[in-house]
Amino acid sequence: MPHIVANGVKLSYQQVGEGSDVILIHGLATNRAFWFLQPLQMLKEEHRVTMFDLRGHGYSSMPEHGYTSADMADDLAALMDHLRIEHAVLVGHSYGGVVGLQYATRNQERVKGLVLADSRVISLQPIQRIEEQAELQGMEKELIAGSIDDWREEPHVGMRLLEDMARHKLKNGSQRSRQDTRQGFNPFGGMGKGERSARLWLQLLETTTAHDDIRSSAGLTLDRIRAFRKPILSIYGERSRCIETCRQLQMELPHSDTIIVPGVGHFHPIVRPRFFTNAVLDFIEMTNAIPNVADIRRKDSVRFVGRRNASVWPNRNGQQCRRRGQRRVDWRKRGWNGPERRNGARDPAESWLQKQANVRVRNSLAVTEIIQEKQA
Amino acid sequence: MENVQKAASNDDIVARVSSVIVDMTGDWDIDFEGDIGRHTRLIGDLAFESIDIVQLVVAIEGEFQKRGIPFEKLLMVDGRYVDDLTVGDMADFLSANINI
Repeated sequence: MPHIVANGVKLSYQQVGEGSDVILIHGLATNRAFWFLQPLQMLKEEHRVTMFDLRGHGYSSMPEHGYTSADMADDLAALMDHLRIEHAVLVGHSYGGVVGLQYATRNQERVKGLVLADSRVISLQPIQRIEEQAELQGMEKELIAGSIDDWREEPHVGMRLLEDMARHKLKNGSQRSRQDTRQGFNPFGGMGKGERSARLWLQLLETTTAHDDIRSSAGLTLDRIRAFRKPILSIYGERSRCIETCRQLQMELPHSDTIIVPGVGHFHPIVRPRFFTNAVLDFIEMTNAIPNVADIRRKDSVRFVGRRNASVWPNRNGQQCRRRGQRRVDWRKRGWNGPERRNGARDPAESWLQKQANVRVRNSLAVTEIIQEKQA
Repeated sequence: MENVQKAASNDDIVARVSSVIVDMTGDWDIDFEGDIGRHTRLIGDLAFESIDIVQLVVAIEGEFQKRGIPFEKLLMVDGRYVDDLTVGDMADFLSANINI
């Protein structure tokens, strides 16, 4: 089985496809199988895709220490060196995106672009409360309804939910979860019962420093993020609890592009894999078409934006640049406008985020009902 | 004659896939008793999860010295993982999709 030993840790990985390098980094409590269904199958047609299990996950080993995003970025660096990957587009979901951002801000010359899929960056979103989530997904409602704790006091609600989901899975072990993506993805679902994955996640939290490490910013400061000059795509679920990070990224990195995926939450790459992968493919094509994007300043640029309930994404001049089923945008002709603030630019995603900022309290009906019920 | 050869070849694939699985699951704490063979179910009997399937795919590509085998055709239906899979299903798929 392919693996390397780096920084004292065994890291399992695999590579498929041919072409420019793309590295997929999964989030907490899952593993490289997260990408296997559609993202990998589509990406490998055009690119050499590398995926690996973060330390403490999947088939990688579980040391006692070293679970900050900085530690895992060191693992990524070692893997890239071992595989002789000079440049790559990094695609990270959730904590995997934070690992990618850690690596990218320290090694900009080796990163062609970065896709942050629903990542919560601690320095941009230090507190994550239940009120920030538009709607609870699937099992989350059940968990909160059955809990005696006041979830409004929980400052890291995403991580807490992962822990409680694992306990729930072990308690109700025989339930299969093949339908989970329809009700909201469950990280301990997929193929099989998911009990071993749940047990592994709890073992990680209970026997290592992971619980505290993953809550640390690990030196990924605002200044370091602001200094990042490479193309970056933020793609977030409309109902995500990490949307505050998305909003902050758009403010701190004006050259970043933003897509809001309508109607889904934190696990949108799995729930809407085709939408996600097409966006990633377009982004990769753009980064590959422009060898040194940081030096390019073109007037005729294209905004790479998402639009709620829309199958056509307009560019700055209002021209259609993408239709459903017509994935390709000719980035070579259109260029990219580089890390410059777009003067007065407004786009649907930006407007949507602004609207969310104004409507600060995001208690969904479901959350409110549950809390009222418990108070009664 | 051709059918006999094909059956022999398929049995050989079953044996090789079984051997890979035995290596993988050697230290697992599972209830399955008996030998792994054509009718062994990966999920129902061996408690495979998504990551194990992915790892098995890598191991089989190593065993047969082939890369890029389109396993997604076997593992997915309508964009979702199949409910379960036997060693025989895997062997039949390999027999049909690679020249061994």
